[in-house]
This record gives sequence, structure tokens and C-alpha cells, in this order.
Amino acid sequence: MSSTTNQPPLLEVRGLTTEFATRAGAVAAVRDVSLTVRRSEKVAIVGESGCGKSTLALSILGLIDKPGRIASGQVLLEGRDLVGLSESAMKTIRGKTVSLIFQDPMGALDPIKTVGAQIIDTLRRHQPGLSHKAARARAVELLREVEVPAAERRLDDYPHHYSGGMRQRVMIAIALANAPDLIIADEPTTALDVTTQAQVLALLERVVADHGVAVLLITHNLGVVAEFCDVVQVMYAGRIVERGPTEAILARPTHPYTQALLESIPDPARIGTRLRAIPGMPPDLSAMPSGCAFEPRCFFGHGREICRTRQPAPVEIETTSGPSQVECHFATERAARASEVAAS
Amino acid sequence: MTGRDIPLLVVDRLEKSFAARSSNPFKPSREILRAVDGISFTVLRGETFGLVGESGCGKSTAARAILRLVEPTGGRVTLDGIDVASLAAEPMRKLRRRMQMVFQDSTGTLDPRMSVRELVEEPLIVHGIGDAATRRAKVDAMLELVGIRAEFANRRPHQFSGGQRQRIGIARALVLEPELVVLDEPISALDVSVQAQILNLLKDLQEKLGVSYVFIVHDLTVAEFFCDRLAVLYLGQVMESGSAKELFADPQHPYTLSLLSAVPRVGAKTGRRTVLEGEVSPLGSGASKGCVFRARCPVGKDRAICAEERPALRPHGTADHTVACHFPGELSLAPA
Repeated sequence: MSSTTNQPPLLEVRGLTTEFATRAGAVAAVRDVSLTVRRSEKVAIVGESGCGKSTLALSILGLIDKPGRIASGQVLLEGRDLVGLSESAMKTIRGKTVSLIFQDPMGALDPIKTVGAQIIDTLRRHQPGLSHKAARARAVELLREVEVPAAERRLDDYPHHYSGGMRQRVMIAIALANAPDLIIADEPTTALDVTTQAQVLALLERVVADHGVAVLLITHNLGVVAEFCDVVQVMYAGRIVERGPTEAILARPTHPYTQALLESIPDPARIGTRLRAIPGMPPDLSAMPSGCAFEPRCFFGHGREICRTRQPAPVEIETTSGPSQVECHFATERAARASEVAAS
Repeated sequence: MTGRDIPLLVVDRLEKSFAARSSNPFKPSREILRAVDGISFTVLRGETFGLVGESGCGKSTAARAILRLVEPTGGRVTLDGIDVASLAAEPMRKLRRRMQMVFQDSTGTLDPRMSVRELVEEPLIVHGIGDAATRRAKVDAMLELVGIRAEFANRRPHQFSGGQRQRIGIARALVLEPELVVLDEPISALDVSVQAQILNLLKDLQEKLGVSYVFIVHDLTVAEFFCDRLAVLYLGQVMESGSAKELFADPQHPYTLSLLSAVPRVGAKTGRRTVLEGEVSPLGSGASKGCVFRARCPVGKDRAICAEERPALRPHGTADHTVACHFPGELSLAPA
């Protein structure tokens, strides 16, 4: 690690591969992924459906069930490898050191328990000594913290009494309950309206800053990444193809996939033109191309010999806000060209 | 195109109310929920008209009332001069051929047991169009238009990706050669790169077939890019409407501005955000007077006139740009 301190990073994933057994043989949804999340850092994993971003999150939390399995790699939480830990050991970590926020809070909350009971359960699972009364008082505090109006009264309401935005606030309260070091948020605002999304993101931003919690945000929305995250990791077909400081990567993407993804967002400045859609679809994970997984759809490398035949190794690129890593055979060339364009 | 400036669809003071759900099943509620509360707009031939707003703003109910998938409780809808609401069952069935709908979740509308060919042929059979050979030709042509390869025509919906299923949904709507298609959030369940494919496809089809779209959308970036004209709805009422170009260049209503500022954008990390408080929620009974947006409005929350008088839609600048606000243009998003 190039970290300046001797302390291990909060989360370090090394060479993680997660496979699923299918009739056609083992299919890897996450391929040789390495990533680091430091304390209080906000890291995004961005990619489209099926790129493996949610599988990666579930792998980190030890939530991969059969027919899936972690085939290789390590998940180091403060230096301790979580891969292979027993379920009971994982239970002392999940909801305590690492907590999770899902896209759909209705699916994550128990419909027949009051919101208060669920927060209290979470609190007492990891703090068995806490009295019911103290837990209830803490639950009210947590609801207040996530700005649920009339918190004391709303504690005894059921999830279906809450609106979508309010339910997501409850999820944040539950995630915060045991003072975690890391929150993994899987598409936390995707199901919400834009104004509610803005509220929830502002809230999440405030609470993680207040508590110094690190966030691993999984999303498909590059706008959310731009506003929320310090570091971005772009995932395609199970691999992280580009990573680095958010500002630099979004302003000057080096990987053709990142560039194409950015260009497929409707841009008011180009009204009347066609959108630059990415042709085709992500590859079938059971029949991956032998070279770069993006080659068949790539505007830059499609048809080139090296792209068709060889998996690109990560290339380090120097950006204005720090180093980035790009898995593209033409990364150096493309980065040089982009900085020429920017300079002229 | 001939008759481009003659409105194809005229929606005039459209209303749809529901009896509000009561918490006590033995005591039905007397409260009325006005899901669509006097919306008016016109759609020209070959153009795209957007209905924009958050969930609960009434955009989907308005679309369903226009197609008479729910019965409107007031107002008038005319398609090419025909009063839609007054039609008896049989002429209504005939008219449906001319106005179709594409849903957000095509999967839910596609029978999993039918092949793609059967799915696209079904509307033709329902409307008694052509013999088997003609239908087959039409289906093949339609599938090619939406970019589904002929060799996949015998596959079932689950063998396709979300984007391709949406193409099938579009093919089902367009195979009847309708003049109007209501697109209800057709891309919001799709990935960004696939969204772009579908938006491009819809634009191409509009150019080729001259069809008009009513585009229901919550994503303002998409609305700005895709719509010719649009209306911003809040609690069943039009807050602001006009050409997309003008409305986005010079938004006047505090709700439009707040919505615009809430969209997270790449390359625009600025402090110019108005985070709206609260959520879309009906004001309850006795709220018929005053502006429906006032409870969340950063401009009019404490102003007497906003609580007393419902603002009328008034032109701003050009005749096409209208705003329903007592203090248009007062909220500004100039960088703080």
C-alpha cells in the first residue's frame, strides 16, 4: 500500500472473484477486483445492470449464497480477512462495523414490525446490555437525526405508513444505529423522485460527515457520483475498468467505456442531435470475449487485434487530481490525446 | 408534413377525481382526491409533448384519462376532432387503434408464453387487421424497424434484455400505425446506455412514421432533450408549460426551478441547489383555494395571496410559455 500511515485501510478488497455455478459451468460475475476504501472516504462503484456491482457488495458482506461462491481473493476489513468467516462471526460485523442500505427499503424492512421495533432490534443485537428504554430513547434520537418529523410518534408506525423517501431515511437511521465505520449503499436513491433524492443525498452527506463514516456507493447514476463521491470505480462485465478521483475521471475519462457512458447521458447542449448510445449489450458472462470485454462495443478498439485477443492490464495515468488506473490497451495514448485536446 | 399545425390531440380542462381511501372500511371517506385537476394542452401531429413531474403529480393518471383507460370525471379530450369521452364501446374500440400506449415495465405487459412474433401480431388480430400473410409482413417490418432481428422472432420475452423487451413493447404499440402514442416512462427502468438506444429509436420512428408522442417523464434532462413542448405538473395542475427550449432556458415557476436544481449532473457541482422540503402530498379538504404548491414553495409559503387565490396560467414572454404563479421569476438559481 502506498498509504502514508501504517494503519491498514478500512476496507481493502484484493483480487476478488465471485462465481456462480450454472448448468453451463462456473460463471464469474466479479472478476479479479481490487479496491480500497479509506476512513471517511466516499467511493462510488458505477456501472450498468449486470456489471457485477451488487454482487461485489454482497461478496464484501459475505452474503453470497449457493450456487454462488467467492472463488478467490481477500476482503480485508481493517486488515482482517472476512472471506471464509463463519456466518456467526459475520453477523457481529454486519450492522455493526459495516452496514448496508438497499435500493428498496420496503423489501429490507419488516412489514409487520413497527419502525421503532426494528431500530431497537438492530441496536440491541449489537449492544445486548442496552435496556429497552434506553434503546427506545436512542431510536428516537436516530429518527431525529435523519430528520423524520415527529420522531417520537412515528416510532410506533409501520413501514407502510412511511413514504418512500421517509423509509429510506429509516434505513439510514438503522444503518447508523451501531456507529459503523463503513456504509455500503446499493442504489439508495434510485427509486426516489429527484427532489426526494436530493433530500436523501444531502442527508446522507451530512450524517456521514458528522460521524466520519466511509461510504461505498453503488449506483448507475453518474450525476449522483459527481455530486457525492471522492473516488469512482467504473465497472464493466465484472471488472473495474477505470478508477480514480471523481472529478478527473468524469471530466476526462480515459477508458472508452467511461467516455461512452458519459456521452449517452442526454446533454441539453446537444439537443437535436442523436444520443451517442453504446451499441449492443454487455457480454454474456458465460461466453466472455477472449480479449477486452468491451471490445465488441468499443468505438475506439473495436476490431483491433490486440483488443480482440488480449485482456488489458491496468495502466497508471497521472491526472490533475491524482493517479488513476485504466484497463485499456490504449490508455496512455488516449490520456495523452485528451490532455492535448484540453490544452488547446 | 401536411397538417402539422393542426392539433391532433386537444385536452381541455381534463379532470379525474377519486374518492380518497378511508382508514375505516365501515365509514367511507367523503374526501375527494383530485389526481388530475383541470389540465389543458394540445399536441400537434408529429411532435412530442412532455408531462413532467414527480410521482403523485398526476401525469400517469392524466395519460390514462386521455386514452380513457380510466374514465375522466370532467373536461374534454378530442383526438382529430373526435370527442373521446362520448364514444360508445364499439367506436371507442376502433379509436384505440389510433392511440396506443407504451408502459414503463414492458415485462408486465408481455405474456410470457407468447413468442415475440405472436406478441406483436396480437394487436393486429384484436383489431381484425389483414389476413395471416399481411399480418406476418407487418410484424416482420415492425420488428426490423425496432431493431429485433428476425431470427429472434420465435423467442419468448424472458429471453430478451430489458431494453429489447421495451423494443417489443414499442413494436406492439406502433404496429397498429397509431397517430398518438402515450409513452409512460418508457426508459426509466433501463440502463443509461440502453436509454440512449431507446430514445434514439423513438425519435427515428417518429421521423419515419410521423407519430405524435405524449411523453410522461420524471427525468428533466431527458424531457429537455426529447420533448418539443411540455407541461410541468404538480398535484394534478399545470404549474408551467411551453416549448422545452424556452422553459429550460427561462424557467419561471419556483417548482420548475426547484426540480431543475435537484437533478444531480455531471460537470455542474455548484451550490445552486434549492432542496425542496417535504414531499408531494395532497393538501386535504378545504385546500381548493390558493396555490397547490404553496406548502413547499420557497417563494410563496408565507404569502397571503398564495394561500387565498389559485394562480391562473398566464403567458410569460411568448404566447406559448405560460406560468401559474403569483410571483413568477422571483426564485433564481444564480450561483450563490
